[in-house]
Amino acid sequence: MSNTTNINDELILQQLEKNLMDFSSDIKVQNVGNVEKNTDGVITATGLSQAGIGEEVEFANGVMGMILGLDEDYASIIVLGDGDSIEEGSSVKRTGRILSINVHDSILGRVINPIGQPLDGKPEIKKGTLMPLEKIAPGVIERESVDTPLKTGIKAIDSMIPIGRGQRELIIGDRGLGKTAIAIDTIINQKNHPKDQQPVICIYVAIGQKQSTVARVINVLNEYGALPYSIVVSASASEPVALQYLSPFAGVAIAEYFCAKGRDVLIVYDDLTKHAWSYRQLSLVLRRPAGREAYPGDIFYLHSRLLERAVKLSKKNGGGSITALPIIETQAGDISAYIPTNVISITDGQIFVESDLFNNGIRPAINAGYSVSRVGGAAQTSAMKSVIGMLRIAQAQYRELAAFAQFGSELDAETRAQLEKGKRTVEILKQAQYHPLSEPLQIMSIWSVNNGFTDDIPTDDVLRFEREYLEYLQRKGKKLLDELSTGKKPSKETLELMKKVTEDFKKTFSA
Amino acid sequence: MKIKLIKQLAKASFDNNSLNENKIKIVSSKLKRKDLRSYLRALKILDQENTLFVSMPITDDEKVKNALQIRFPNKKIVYTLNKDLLAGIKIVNNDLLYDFTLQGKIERLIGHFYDTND
Repeated sequence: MSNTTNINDELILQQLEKNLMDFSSDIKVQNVGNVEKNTDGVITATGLSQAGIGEEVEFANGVMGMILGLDEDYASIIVLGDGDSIEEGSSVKRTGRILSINVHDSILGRVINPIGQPLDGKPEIKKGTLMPLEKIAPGVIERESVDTPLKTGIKAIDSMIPIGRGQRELIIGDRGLGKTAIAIDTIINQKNHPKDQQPVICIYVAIGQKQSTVARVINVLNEYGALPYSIVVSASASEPVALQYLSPFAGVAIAEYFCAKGRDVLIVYDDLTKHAWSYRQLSLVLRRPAGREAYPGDIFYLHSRLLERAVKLSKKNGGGSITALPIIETQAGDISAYIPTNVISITDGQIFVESDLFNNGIRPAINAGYSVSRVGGAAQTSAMKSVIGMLRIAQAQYRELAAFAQFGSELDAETRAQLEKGKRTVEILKQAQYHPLSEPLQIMSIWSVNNGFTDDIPTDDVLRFEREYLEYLQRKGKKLLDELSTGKKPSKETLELMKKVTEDFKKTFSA
Repeated sequence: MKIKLIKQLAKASFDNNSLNENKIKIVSSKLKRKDLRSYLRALKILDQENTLFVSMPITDDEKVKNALQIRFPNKKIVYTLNKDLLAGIKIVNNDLLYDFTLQGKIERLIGHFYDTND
């Protein structure tokens, strides 16, 4: 034991000696400034003539800041801590570093703030790589097109609005309609990854949310075993506005660390409406010209440069990916407001959740007509593609037909049949929260409705039918599910087997 | 009034790197409230640029004072006593800080150890 101690002591001494040799005792010349004004956590300082945008600065009391604007005589700095403690006349010095976050593999499962400080009461994150918060997104040469699905486990999404790895898919809707639930379900579903692959790393960025909401999300992730492959970056409503503004950039910087290692990453920005609010607040304090809805002129660029960092890297560049799920909260379903239209135009599609559907008990309350995935189709498996057919369009048509049918009493047989089928499809696409389904089970559910196996079942019993059907498949259709899990288009034999298994089940099912 | 002109007025308000009170009184009486604010701000910045702030653990080191006077002949030099510096001298010239102190060296050494070890 004493030997080990001696060796350790020696090693420590050797290390210290080596560090001392590396130390340069040159005279330090620093670029400094003086605080002129402190307005709500935004500092105006003179001096700092050599500082650059995005550079980290340190105030006399040790609080850090970041340069957000440079004028002829002044620098505007956002404070990354307690802004009240910075007084007029105190000094501020450059650090020469671009604002970065320390990322190490041990960050998985942790809850941190945008500057990398732990919020979960656990020890500091180990020293790893410093990832810059602001970075130019990879160019076209480094990228390749989206071709791998990111399975959410939600039938309505995986079938109608598929998401690919490297895609940016917006989740949009009013408050309390299950936008966060969709994102959380997607994170939970990453647990069900193939044994030969690593799970998709999930980053949940909470921007300006209530502490209680963030705590609930963390509890859910923990309860469903999703925390070990997740990271929560939180800047709650009580945090300084500067931290709220930086939180999505911190999240994507962490994502880039894992992406560079060839891993697939999913990042959820919950939500970008509050992020836009925080940037508006900062800009107004900085006296930048206000535009529409008092947002600054570069609000579009703020979100486009953030979301442009979602990427699918080519194999040559490691093959990693960052899939972004930004969330936008609308007011009274108005998707034509400033921030929603901006983010809709930036992203590769949107999932629109609607209050009418939610209030009618359709959950997830996804409007198939307004929702779209512009690139995800290329990433959908052949198995799923062959089964869904024109499901999304049929769903959108059913909704319109159902609205017209309310006025007419006499309907022809074909329309009645279409309505009945539509009703059953709506039922089968309903899904409980925190219960993501694997792709083979989703395929079987949708296939059974599309092929008329639920036509003789009352609408109210469709969900029970589905539940028992899936249980039956897991017990007696393992071979079939394994076949479907390959993602290949079902062969004639597989289709025959699907038919046989479903008919066998129907004999046992009593409506 | 244009900010460039206000800056010129501020520059003209100095005689041998010291503020001329009479000139400032004349200029201030003729400026509008908004311009006056910019003028005062420009004066403050210029005054800072013309002043050399020196911190030392002892104030009566004539050798150092003479050397600084020769090195910066056009600057107003303000000396402050700071015993925490332990030894050496700290100079702030406009927005550049030259740290020749023992305290600074120790702090840099601590920072170096922190950066190179877990």
